[in-house]
Amino acid sequence: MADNKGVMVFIEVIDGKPTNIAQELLGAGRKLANDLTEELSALVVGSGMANIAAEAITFGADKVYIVDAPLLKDYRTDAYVSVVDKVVKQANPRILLMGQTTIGRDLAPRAACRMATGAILDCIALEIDTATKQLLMTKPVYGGNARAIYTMETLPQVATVRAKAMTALAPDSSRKGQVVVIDAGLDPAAIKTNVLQKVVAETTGIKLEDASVVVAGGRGIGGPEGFKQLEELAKVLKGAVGATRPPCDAGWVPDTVQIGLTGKIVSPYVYIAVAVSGASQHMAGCSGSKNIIAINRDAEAAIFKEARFGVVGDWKKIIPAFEAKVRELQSK
Amino acid sequence: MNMIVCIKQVLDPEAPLSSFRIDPATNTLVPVTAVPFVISPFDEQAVEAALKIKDAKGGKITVVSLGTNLLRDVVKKPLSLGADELILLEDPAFIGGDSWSTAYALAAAIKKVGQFDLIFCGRQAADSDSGQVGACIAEILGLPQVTVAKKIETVDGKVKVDKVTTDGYEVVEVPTPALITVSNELGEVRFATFKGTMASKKKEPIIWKPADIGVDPAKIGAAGRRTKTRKLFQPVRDSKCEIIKGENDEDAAVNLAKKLVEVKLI
Amino acid sequence: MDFDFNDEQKMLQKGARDFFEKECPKSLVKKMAEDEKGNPPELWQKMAQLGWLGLIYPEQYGGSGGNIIDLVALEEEMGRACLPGAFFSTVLLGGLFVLNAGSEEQKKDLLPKIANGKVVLTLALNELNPNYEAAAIEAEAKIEKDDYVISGTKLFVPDAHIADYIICIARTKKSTKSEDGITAFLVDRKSAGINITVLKTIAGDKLCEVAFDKVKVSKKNIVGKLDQAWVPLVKTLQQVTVARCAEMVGGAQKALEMAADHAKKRVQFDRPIGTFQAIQHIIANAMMDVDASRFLTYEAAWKFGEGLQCAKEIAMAKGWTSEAYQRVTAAGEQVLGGIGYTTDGDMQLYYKRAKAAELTLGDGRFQREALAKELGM
Repeated sequence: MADNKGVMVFIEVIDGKPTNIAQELLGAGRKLANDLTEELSALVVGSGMANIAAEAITFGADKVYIVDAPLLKDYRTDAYVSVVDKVVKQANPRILLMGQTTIGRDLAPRAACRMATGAILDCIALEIDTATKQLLMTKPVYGGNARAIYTMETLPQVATVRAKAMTALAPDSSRKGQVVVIDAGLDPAAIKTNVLQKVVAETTGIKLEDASVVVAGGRGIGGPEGFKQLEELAKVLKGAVGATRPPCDAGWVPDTVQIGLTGKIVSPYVYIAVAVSGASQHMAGCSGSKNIIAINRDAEAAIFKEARFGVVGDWKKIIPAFEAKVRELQSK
Repeated sequence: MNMIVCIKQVLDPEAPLSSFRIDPATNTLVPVTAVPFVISPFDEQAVEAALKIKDAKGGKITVVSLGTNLLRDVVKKPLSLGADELILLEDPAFIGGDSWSTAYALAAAIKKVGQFDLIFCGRQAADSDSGQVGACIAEILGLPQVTVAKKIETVDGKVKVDKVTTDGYEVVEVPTPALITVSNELGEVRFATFKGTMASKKKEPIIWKPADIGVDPAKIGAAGRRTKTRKLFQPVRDSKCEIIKGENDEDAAVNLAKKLVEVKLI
Repeated sequence: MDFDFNDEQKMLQKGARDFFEKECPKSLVKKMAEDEKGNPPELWQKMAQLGWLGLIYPEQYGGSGGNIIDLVALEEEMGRACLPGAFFSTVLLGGLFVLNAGSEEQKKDLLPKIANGKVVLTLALNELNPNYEAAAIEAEAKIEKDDYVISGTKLFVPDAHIADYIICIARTKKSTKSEDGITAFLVDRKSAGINITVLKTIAGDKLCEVAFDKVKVSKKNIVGKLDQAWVPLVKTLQQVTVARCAEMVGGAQKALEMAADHAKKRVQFDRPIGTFQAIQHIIANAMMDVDASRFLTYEAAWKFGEGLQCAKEIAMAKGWTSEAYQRVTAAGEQVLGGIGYTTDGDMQLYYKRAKAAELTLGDGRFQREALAKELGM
């Protein structure tokens, strides 16, 4: 315990590069490592991962641990927990970070439990307490109504980090680092999960997380027809459509467009919230937006406390008129 | 199918924000009489997942809940929906814990329940939002886990699960016994019939204390925490919103469009 | 003394609250006010499946075997939700009358159908002078061989226009005691000679004028015994009044919550308006009104359920709640200010329902007279 040193970041990979959240984690990890005057390492797990090491270094890592095996091609809990446990025993980091992703929320708690330590999920801020050198982890609680700051005595301190909460470093291809290959050491019989199928929902147009304009609808949209109007507006603004949880639960829009604490995290330049009350669970997904525009018939709705501009009124009248005027101004 | 569902009693997360207040001295939420207790919503989905399997394949559902001041009309709700048995880990020694010490106690209770095929948990509790108890229970009991499930199908000694991913879902298969955490994508939870509600009257909850489930007192509740709460606070919302007006809704909409173009937002 | 619901009643109430929040949003309530029929069919069937339409009928008649307190718990949530539709007319007015008055055969025939959502029923009682007294029953039913012929005009008959059957309260015999000689007839709505006009009400409920012009009804369709409808009718009205009071309590509770929540959020003069003493007093008065109504209603319900004398308690519950509900919604309008009285808002729904509820089953003045009689005045 006493000789745990360094920050380790678990990297997820897509199309041969660290994912956006992995880049952000390296950015965050770099700052923590600097504050501790310790090393930042990246952990890459998968199959055919050899080229990623260089990428991880350009985004800030001093050292990259690679665990590469065909059995690790798809994420499976048993395999990945075993690998993380093995690498951590060897590398002894003080802090282990992961993204709050499909993998992270499955891997972090179980790996932490196996390593007889704790974990804090969905952190939006990380800081070193200079007095104790402990990691201060801030996360939303009570559905986003409040924030809690946690610490732990056990090591490594495990945390998952919310997308877009941290900033990636500019990639620096001149950075140098060390690559350490670790054998997975897996027993195939111990891996109980079988991945049968991966289904990707059809998305036409701009991906929600990447859109610079998002038009989001809430319960007040009333049905799928209402969302068609929002799609029209999104097209005109070259944006994407999102929703709070109730329209997804009601089946008016697919689950994949849910923005919120347990849904997508978006931070567009413009976020137009239509008939959205502004409840914390939803705001957790969009509060990173640079400019929030609110349209709601309730002048007291919480959304108006988050928005830069707002109109109090009936969206059924406001949206068509707004869209028409935007088209007109765009054609000039 | 023998199924176990873990549920947590929480203050209603749908209560109006005007009732939400934190006591900075104790880092706890101030309870307001007007705000009722409910079962954490994702846990209700976990109950629904078990009920769907009971509908299809038959079996027994045992519900387990850890806490104090567990209101019977709150925690007995799964019984009114069709669950068979309710076990309460009701003792001050159990509370004040984090995910680890809570999971440790729940796992011990589950061991005492005996034979089971599936354990269902909600993906995260509506108060702590920590999202770990399920995985910790699975680790302690050495079970395969599938997290954030939206559809579960039992197939001869195995379970096939649609698990939610960022872009859609993945279909995975694990052998039973296994632990599954459930998310709202599972679908609507059912309502209790009046007869179901009346039938729950006959099912008295079983109460277990730490001694009943053979736990190490140093590992449960507040004593067993691995994490500490440094601070609990409400973020201050202080953005000034410019309300765009007009003679009517359509006119205001036009003014909004003009304003957004003027400040170069669109 | 335990004034609380038992655990099962609390579960029923919480479940009903969640159910209505999902299945009976205010958009549906407003739509039904404009709708010609006013009884949303999907909602009706869902309530049947949950066993709520048969809640207070015994199991041997296809019901769920609940008691009047269970009904009170459910009715509070119906009031909170502003539930539109035929529950009041079918399950309470019509159904409870069949339970109280009907023959075994009639109970076994009609009550299961109500419980399963297969039939809509109503009771035609009030006439030109709607004072709930036997002497006011002037509609006549004259015997002609094996049939009775009914003539007269009934007013404020809920849901007559969609009912399968109308139970018509008519006079079959003139007697020194006006309570004697009153009979209930189960009339097919589509019978020749029936003319129904739906009235436009302030609360969106579908009250009808039903004109009976020589309507033929077989004597087999007398509900219960000839000339003896009044006693079971009085018992039915007692139960229905308790249920209506519970509905009012639920609506008043919601109106109070809306006002209190608004007072905590609305900022004027640099502070939430709820920090001003005048607003605090308005809300506190409303709290007292809601709880007084609640406990008068619970006492009346409990006594009825125990088979005790309860005419006084029911009169107090109705008299008090009728006026308290209106005070609470008026206070709600005051606190909500400009937002309160637009039809976009919901307070107006409760405000109008409060007035409408006052006028059914005897208003405050009517109940005061009954109370004075209780004291022998």
